[in-house]
Amino acid sequence: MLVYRPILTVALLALAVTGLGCGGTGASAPNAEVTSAIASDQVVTAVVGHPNLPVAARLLRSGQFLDAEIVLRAILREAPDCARAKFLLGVAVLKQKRYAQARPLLDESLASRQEFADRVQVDHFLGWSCYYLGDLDAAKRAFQSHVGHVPSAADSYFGLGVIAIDEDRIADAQQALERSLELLPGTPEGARDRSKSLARLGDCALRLDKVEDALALYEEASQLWSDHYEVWGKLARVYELKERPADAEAAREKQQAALKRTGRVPEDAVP
Amino acid sequence: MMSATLASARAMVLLVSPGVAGDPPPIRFEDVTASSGIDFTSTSGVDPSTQIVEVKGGGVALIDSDQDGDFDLFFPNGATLAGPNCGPGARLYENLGSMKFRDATAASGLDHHAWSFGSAVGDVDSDGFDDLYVACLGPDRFYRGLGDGRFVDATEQAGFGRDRDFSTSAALADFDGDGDLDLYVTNYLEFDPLHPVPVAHFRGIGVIGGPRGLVPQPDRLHRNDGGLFTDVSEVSGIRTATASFGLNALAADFTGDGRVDLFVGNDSMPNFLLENMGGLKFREIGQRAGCAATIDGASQASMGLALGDVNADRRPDVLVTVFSDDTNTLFASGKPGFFDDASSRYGVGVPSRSFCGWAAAFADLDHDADEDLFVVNGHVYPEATAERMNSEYRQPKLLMRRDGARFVTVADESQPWLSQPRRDRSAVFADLDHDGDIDAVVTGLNESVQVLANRHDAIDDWVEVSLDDLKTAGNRRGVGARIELTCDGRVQTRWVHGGGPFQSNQSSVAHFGIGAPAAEVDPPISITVTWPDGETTTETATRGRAMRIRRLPAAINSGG
Repeated sequence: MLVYRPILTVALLALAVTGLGCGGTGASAPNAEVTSAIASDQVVTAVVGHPNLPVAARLLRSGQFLDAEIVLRAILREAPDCARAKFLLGVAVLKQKRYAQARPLLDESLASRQEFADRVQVDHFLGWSCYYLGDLDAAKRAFQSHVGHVPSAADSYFGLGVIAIDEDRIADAQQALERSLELLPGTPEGARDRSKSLARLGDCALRLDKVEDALALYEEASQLWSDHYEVWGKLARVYELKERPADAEAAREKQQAALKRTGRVPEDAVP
Repeated sequence: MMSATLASARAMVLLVSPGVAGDPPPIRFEDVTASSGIDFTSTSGVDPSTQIVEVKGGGVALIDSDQDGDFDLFFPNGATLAGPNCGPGARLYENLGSMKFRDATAASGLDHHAWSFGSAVGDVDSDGFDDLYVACLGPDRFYRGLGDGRFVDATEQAGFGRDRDFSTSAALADFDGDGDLDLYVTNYLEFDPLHPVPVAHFRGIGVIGGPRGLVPQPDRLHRNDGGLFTDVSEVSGIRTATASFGLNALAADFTGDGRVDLFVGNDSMPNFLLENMGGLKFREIGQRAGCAATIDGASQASMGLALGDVNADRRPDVLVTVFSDDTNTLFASGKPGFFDDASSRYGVGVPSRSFCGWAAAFADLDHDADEDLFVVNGHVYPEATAERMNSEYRQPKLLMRRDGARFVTVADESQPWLSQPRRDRSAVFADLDHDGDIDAVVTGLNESVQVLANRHDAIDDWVEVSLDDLKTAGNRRGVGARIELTCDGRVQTRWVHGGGPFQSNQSSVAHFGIGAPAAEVDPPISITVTWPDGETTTETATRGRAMRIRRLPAAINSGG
């Protein structure tokens, strides 16, 4: 039996995916997005279903990605054709930065043609997987597909903006990032994602040698989300360009503090 | 077999279609290793690696050991933890021409068996012959060249041999402007072969530990006084920079004040830009200049360094190769004294994401009057797979052609060397067979050396320039000089710099591609050399010819 989500849920989903592993903004708190992306209703329906799918979804919601992966792999052993399990497993491994594993899972969940509740969101996660594998064309296609189905998908517009920056299409980047800002709520809940989009708009301004504009955008971004350690780094850079070394040093200190607050640790191996 | 990740990455790249009218000529190399006479596989601990000291691999250096005007090849070699000073030994290969080489180690006197990484080449004692400095685990070694293919170990006589560092790369340049070559050595970290580093965890997988959590070693600067070196690390100010995991260095004038500065690539820590203040005093300005970290303020695992003029502003830009799941960064010169992270602008970042990059170089490989980019890759963790780490242990090279404003990845199935997965580490790029194009020699981690001959067809679309500075007999090859070629109103810039792609050195011969003549009347080609002391020399060049520009003590040919 198919259960269709109400429009509101779709909108929530679109917002939910915001920031999932996007654009190097590693200071994101992924749990929140997954929570929304998977939605809180316990009923998870798919053409091929499994009673443990809600358990996996709950684990994803709580940020227990490895545990979710274990459960989902067990589900797929019993129901290898379950497209939603593949989708959720794709999300679980994506959140563990194993993009090369995530991509085929997401591809398969789409290729299954099975109708499942959050199928419409697959393209979003596929977009980020492809992006982090360096396949910008595929990422672009996925994000475009997503915003085609979910026009309110702010984070997919953000993704398109990030890709456009990487391709040095600055006007396109600005357009996509502005669109993401329009779609994001001006509430505290939207502050983090607005900060990310503003920071990227600052990058665009810097690319166009509009240093004052970049400074204003970065400062606004830092005020919206003080844990956004990348924007502190960008701000320090602009302060240096403006020959304001004391402000640059202060920004770097705030960057370090944000890194500490968010528990960001270097990824490479520490014995 | 190529992984799905790499296959997909390659699927989106440019497919070369040679012979299409109006297209630039294709970049075409041939793997001539089998016929080159070089049959050498480096040693770097056990295979697969278990310790951080084992993953850097050995380097390679261009050196004219016998004064016959071509580049011979020196390969430092590693060893094992069981016998870090008893490795199979370094090798010297004499260049016989036509991409043929002969193992000349035995007669060279290079009886070098310490665990070694990079090296630096230059005439440090002003006798006209190339000398050789070898960066080692433990005391570095210095070999004085006799000019006939032989060397003598002069480590102690030259003032070296007292360090106990884990040295990785070295760069020779005249930092104090006194006419001879001083030496900068990058040091990595504290490592005791008797006390291996415990296993660490990366993404839930047990892997080789470090560098984080280990103790970084500060770099060293040695002043040259007539062939005798003095450690001036403390008084020079380089130690005011935080001790970091140094892997590579470039010596060139990055700040535009006429003095030779240092760009130091550090692993997992901010890069240094050591500004030469004169009087052999330096200050670290990497953060201020914008080349310590990416646009996001993120430090990277900097390994390879390539110097070029990507934005054609006649000031050096630097590409840094980094770890996988990160992207190579291009620091392009911007406002004077500042660099911009221009990786996205020029398209050099994203294509590198699945690679762990090492040696890199800008060179005009297709002679279309702009510099292309050649990067060698290979992961450090034997456990690396695309599924686990989005990156394979063995990786293909990344070849990027400059296509207008951006770089485009080259894929060409007719060139197997390009897609062959290896554990590459170091490389040198030079015209080894005097046919006017840039060849490459690549070393890998416990891999055989790979010799790649550039098969560019045209015969008159290039100019090569070497320098002979008799005004400063201790820096005859003009390290620190800028060489500009002007043709049809277009200026190309090269630098003779210290340091190199990774644990290797740069060719002292500046190579320019100039394309086919666009008109019936071939426009004149002029070469302007800005010598390290700021004096300039301008001469006319001829298509398809190598030229040597000599400066005499009386500076009779100054001008321009």
